[in-house]
Amino acid sequence: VEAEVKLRVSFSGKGGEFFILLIKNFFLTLITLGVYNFWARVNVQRYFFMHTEIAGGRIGWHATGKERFVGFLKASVLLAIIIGLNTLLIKISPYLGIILPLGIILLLPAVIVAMYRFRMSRTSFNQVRFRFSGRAGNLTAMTLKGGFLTLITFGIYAAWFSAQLRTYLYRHTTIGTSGFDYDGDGGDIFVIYLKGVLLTMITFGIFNSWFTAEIANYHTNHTLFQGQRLKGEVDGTDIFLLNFFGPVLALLTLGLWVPWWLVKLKAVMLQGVSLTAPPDIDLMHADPDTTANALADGLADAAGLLDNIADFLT
Amino acid sequence: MIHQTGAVHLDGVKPRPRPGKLVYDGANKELHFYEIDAETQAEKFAFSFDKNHAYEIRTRAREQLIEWRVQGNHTSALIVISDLKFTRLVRDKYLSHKNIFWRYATYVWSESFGRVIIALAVALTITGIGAHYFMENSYHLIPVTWDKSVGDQAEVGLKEFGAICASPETVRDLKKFLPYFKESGTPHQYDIQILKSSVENAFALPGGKITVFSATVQKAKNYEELAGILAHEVGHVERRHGMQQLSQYMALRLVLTLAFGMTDDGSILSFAADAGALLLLLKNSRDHERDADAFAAQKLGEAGISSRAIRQFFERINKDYKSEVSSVPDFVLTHPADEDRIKFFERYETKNKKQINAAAERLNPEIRELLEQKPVISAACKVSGDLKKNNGNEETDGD
Repeated sequence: VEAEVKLRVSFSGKGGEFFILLIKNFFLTLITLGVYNFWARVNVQRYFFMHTEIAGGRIGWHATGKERFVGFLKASVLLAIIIGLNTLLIKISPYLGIILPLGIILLLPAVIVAMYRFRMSRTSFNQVRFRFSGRAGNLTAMTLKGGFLTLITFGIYAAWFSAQLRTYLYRHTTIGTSGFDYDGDGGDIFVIYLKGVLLTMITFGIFNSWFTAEIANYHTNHTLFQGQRLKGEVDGTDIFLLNFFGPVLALLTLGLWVPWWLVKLKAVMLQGVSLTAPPDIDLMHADPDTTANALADGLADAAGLLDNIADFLT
Repeated sequence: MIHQTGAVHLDGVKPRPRPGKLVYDGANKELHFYEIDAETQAEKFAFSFDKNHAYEIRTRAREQLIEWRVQGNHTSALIVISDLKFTRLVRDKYLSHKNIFWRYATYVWSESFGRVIIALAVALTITGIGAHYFMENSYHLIPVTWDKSVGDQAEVGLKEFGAICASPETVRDLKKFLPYFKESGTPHQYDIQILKSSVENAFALPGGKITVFSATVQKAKNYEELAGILAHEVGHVERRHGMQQLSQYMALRLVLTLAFGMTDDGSILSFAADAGALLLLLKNSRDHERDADAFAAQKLGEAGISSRAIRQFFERINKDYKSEVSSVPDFVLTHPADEDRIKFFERYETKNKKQINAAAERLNPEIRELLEQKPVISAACKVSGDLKKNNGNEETDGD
C-alpha cells in the first residue's frame, strides 16, 4: 500500500467552480455591506485547501467566517480603546503619545505568532490539525536583532533574517505530533534574490516568473517533514505563460478569466511540490491547540481597514 | 426505513482514514457509523452522531463532505460519502431541527446550477435596488452645515488652475443675478470669485463659493451667457451634487474595501473592483450635469432670462473643441454631449415660452440692460494673448 502513495501534491480546483464561489462571495459581500467579507475569505481559502491532496491525505481549512468576524469585532473595540487612550495621553503631553505606538510595535511579534497559531490550528491533514508552538519572546529577540542588522547593512542582511524566520516558523510547526524543519541558507537566498532582481530588471520583468519559481523551489527543497526532504519542481515557464496571457484573456473576457487564472496559478505552484518519501502517518497524532483564536487576524483586519479609511480621508 | 451508504471517516485524532458505512435510521431519526475491518470485512458499530454539534455539508467533485465540530473549533471530524440522495436525506431529515438558513447556505450553492442562477438574480435585484437607493440618498445623512467646510477644504485644489484675482466690478455684476437663481431660504452662503486662467471653466464648491475662470468672462459676448453658467453652478450647490459625489465615493470605497480590500490573496480582484467604481461614478457625475442644467433652465425661465446665450455658448464650445470631444466616447465623458444640452434648453424654452415671456416683462430693467452688456474684467484678471483651449470640460463642479 505504501508504494502507491502519491508523493506529489495534487490540486483539483476548477475555474468554473471557483468562478461560482467568487460570484457568491461578491454578491453576499455587497448585500451585507461588506460584513460577509469574513465568510468570503474563509470560503476562498477553504476551496483551495480542500482541493489539495498529498500522500493520499486531504488538506483542510477549518476557520469559520463567524470566528473571524467575532475576532474582528473584538479587535475593533480593542483598537478603539487604544486610540482613545492615546488621544488622552497626547492631550496630557505630546511626548506621552509615543508610548502606545512604541508598545504596539514591540507587541507586533506576539500578534504575528498569534496569527500563525490561528492559521495552523485551522489547517489540517486528514482532519489532524497543524499546530504552531513558537513563542513570541523568541520572535521579538530575533526581529530586534534581524531588523537592526538589516538596517545597518542596507537590507543585505534581510536574506539571512528571512531564513532565520522561516527556520523558526517551520521548526515550531507540526501536524499533530510530526514536525517540519527548514535548513535554507541566507547566502543562497541572497544570491537567488540578487540574480532574480537583476535579471528581472534587464529582461523588463520577464524573468520574474522564473525568479518566483526558483525562490519557491528553494524554500520547498529546504523544507523537511518527519526528517524527509521535500522537492520543489515549479517550472517558471508555466508561471510565465499564465501571467503573460492572464491579463490579456482577463481583458478580453471582461474579467471572467480571473478565476481560471487564479486556479491555474495555484495548481502550478502546488503541483510543483512533492515529498521524497512517504510520510509515516501513524506518527501524526492530533495535538490540538485549544486556545488559538482569530483575535490577531481581526486586529490585522481592523488596522488594515482603519489604514484604508485614513488613506482615503487624507 | 433504514438507509445506508459507504463512507470514510476521519476522526480528527488520527490521520488514517477509516472505511465503513453510514446508516440512517429513519424511524428514530438517528445516524450511525459502522467501521469495516480491512482484512475480515467484519462490520463493527463505531459511534452515533450527536445532533447538537455544528454541521457543515459541502461538495468536492463527486464527494460530499459532512464535517462536524465538537465544541470550539480546534478539532473536527469528517465523513466522506459519494451518495447525493443520502446526503440530501441527512440534510432534510436528520438535520431538520437545524436552522434552515444554515442548513441550506452551505450546500445549496454547489448542488444545482439552476438555483445558483435564481439566487444570483434575486441577489442582483436586491443589490441593485439597494445600491441605487443608497447612492441617490446617502448624502442626506450629511448635515448641510458641513457643505461649507468641505468646500473650503476643496478650495485649496483650485490653486492648480491659477490664482484668484480681484475684479470687483465683474463680481458685483454677477452677484446681481444670484437672487434669481438661489432657492428661497437657502442655507448656502453664496460668494463669487474670479480665477485668472486662460482656460474656460467654472467651478461651484459645496457651500456656495462659485469660481469663474477669467477666460470665460473675457470670451462671453454678454452677461446673459454668464448668467446661464451661473445658474448651472448654483444648481450644483443647491442640489448638493458635490456632497452627493463625496458621500457616494466614500460609501463605495468603504464597501469595495470591505469586499475586496481585505483579501488574503487578491490583488487581481481589487484591480477589477476599482475600474467598476470609476465607471459608476462617471455616470453619476453626468447625471449631475443634466440635473444642474435642468435647474438652470427652470431658474432662467422663472427669471425671464432666455437660454439663447447659454445655447450659443455651448455651440461655440462645441465648435472650438469638437475634435477633442468627439474622440472620447460619451460613456466615459463626465459631461453630456453639448448638442444634447443645447437641445434640452431649446425644448424647455419652447415648452414654457409663455411663462418665460411673462417673467421677462417683469424683469428688473437694470438686469435686462445688464444682460446685453459685454462683461467687464479688471486688468488684474485679464489674460492676454491667445486663449487656450480647455480640456473638453466646460463647467466642472470642483469638489
